Amino acid sequence: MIYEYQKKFYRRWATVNLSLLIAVIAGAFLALSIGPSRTSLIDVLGVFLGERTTTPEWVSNVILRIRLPRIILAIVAGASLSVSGVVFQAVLGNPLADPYILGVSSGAVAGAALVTVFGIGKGTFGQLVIPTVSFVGSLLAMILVYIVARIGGRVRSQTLLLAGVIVNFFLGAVIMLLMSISNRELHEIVYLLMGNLGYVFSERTIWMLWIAGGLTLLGAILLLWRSRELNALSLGEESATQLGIDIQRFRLFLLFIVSLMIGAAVSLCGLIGFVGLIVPHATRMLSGPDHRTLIPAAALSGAVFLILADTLARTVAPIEIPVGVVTAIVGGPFFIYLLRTRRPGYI
Amino acid sequence: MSSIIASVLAGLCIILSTSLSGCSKDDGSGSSTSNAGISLNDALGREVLFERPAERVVSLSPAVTEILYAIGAGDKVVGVTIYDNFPPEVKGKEKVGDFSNPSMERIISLRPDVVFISPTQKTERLARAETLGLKIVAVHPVNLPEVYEAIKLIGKVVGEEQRSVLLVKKMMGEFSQLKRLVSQIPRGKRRRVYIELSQDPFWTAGKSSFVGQLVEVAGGDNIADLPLPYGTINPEVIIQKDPEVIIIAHPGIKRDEVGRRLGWARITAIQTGRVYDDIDVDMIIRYGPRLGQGARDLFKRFYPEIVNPDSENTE
Repeated sequence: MIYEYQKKFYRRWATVNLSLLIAVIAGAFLALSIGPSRTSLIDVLGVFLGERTTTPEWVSNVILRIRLPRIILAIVAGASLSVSGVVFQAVLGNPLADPYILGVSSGAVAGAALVTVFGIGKGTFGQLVIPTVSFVGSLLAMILVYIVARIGGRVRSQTLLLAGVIVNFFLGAVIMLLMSISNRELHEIVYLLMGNLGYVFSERTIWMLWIAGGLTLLGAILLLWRSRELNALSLGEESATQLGIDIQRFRLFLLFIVSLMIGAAVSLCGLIGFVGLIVPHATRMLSGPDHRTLIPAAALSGAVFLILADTLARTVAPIEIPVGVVTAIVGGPFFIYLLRTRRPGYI
Repeated sequence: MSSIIASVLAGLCIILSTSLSGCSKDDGSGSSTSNAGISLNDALGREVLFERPAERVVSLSPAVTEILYAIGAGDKVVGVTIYDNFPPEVKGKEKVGDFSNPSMERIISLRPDVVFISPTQKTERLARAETLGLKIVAVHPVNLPEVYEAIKLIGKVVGEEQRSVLLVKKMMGEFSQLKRLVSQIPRGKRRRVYIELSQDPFWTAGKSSFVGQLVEVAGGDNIADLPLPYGTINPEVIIQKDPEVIIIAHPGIKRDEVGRRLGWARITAIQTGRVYDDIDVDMIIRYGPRLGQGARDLFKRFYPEIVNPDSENTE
């Protein structure tokens, strides 16, 4: 019987994740071939099959150096936000939890806004400084939340949530303050708040994309490794303790991993909302609540969702729309749909 | 999350109004001068009445300040923004804040007869200022004809109508002189130009803005085809249109770094070294008396091989 159960698990794991992987690849090719400069799928194939004689040089430049980094960024951000959403929902035992709930994101934006307003963020140096400071900002925010929530050497999920909300409000005020004293830089901060994947990489800054990707991949693997414990935790703190899990240490581990992942994403693309909230819920309908399947599946569906949302953002209007606006417009109604048709245990 | 969204929306509103894009409000020129006083329609479409020309002026727009000085009304300026830097005499004037957040108290204490604003300030604040007895005139020209009208309107308010008409004539003369030079270049040979007003995201001027029209006057073929006066442009469009000249009109990046942006290396402007970051941005984004000089500066960068328009100017 146990053998039969395991076979079923593996079959489901493979079906869900393989089909999502195929969706990511298909979505990436679609996104590579669509853009305001009108290229076709044939151009993409031409570029990849090395037949550059038939495609003009600018086409391969656009596809490989403008769209490809952007799509990779969409994959990285989509995966890290969705997986963090899954983890937060389990850690806080709250279906409304999203990656921004504990103030990590406000920390990142406050850091970036600080650098921008004081004019340090100029040139190549600035291109390195802004993401770095915002990454540090996100980690500091998380540490602050953890310290605030730590009462008598223990951190409970309710106090964690409250501490997160407070720190979020506080940092939100800091961002507002910086916005009110900024002038020319204002639209850059607003763009960060709306979230967009148009980060302009140069030859000297492209490694940041690889760091973000590496952190996301590493985080996802570490979380997958501890996914059985995550399953126990999502049953409630008591059951997890009875199963012999050191909740305090495990939670600290989870928060640390997730902060690294969110920091990596937010520092490059700002606050892209709703991905980390709806993708985990939608994925659960596909994969079930078992974190062993849910974590890779959420990473892949987050990637697909953000690739498609960004393709819309790039092409739907004559002027580019920030992707965060697209995810919110698509995500809001979708979340309501999930809420109305919810099944116990899924949302 | 909700607070973040609220702040985003607030920010968006500010951006839509602050950023150069702005609403393309007609800069209504319908005005009349009679014994009864001066009546005019400002950029917000309101009728403003003056019994006599204004003697004390607060300018919340550096462009308006430049115009006031150019038409000989510099002495009447009693308050400016912290961004005002031209002409040099303006340094000694009282600063009342920036254009979106001026100090009402300081403005009132200066007892101005008129306050020039760009309609980026929220309308409620404007209304409140009017109940305090301030006379507000909104100026917001989007294209060159509207710039001329705005200059004449400012002239009317301060009683320097003739000099404002002369200033407009002088600017038009500067432009037509450039146009003569440019007309010798066949349409097909005009250089393709990308003018960058900001990065992250890339922000440029379209053909319906005075900045875009300046590019055209200077003989540039603007690669941006925007539905609005100003807006974002996707880098892939820049690469596709392959500009021959790139003007960096913001302090965010130095010319050497532009070519290091991923995918930009093969753009003609970068291959031939025609990326310029040395233009005086104020001369092209302020709708003031220096636009002619700004256009000449652009021309010099578009066509360095053609005779210097400044030298022709001196004959």
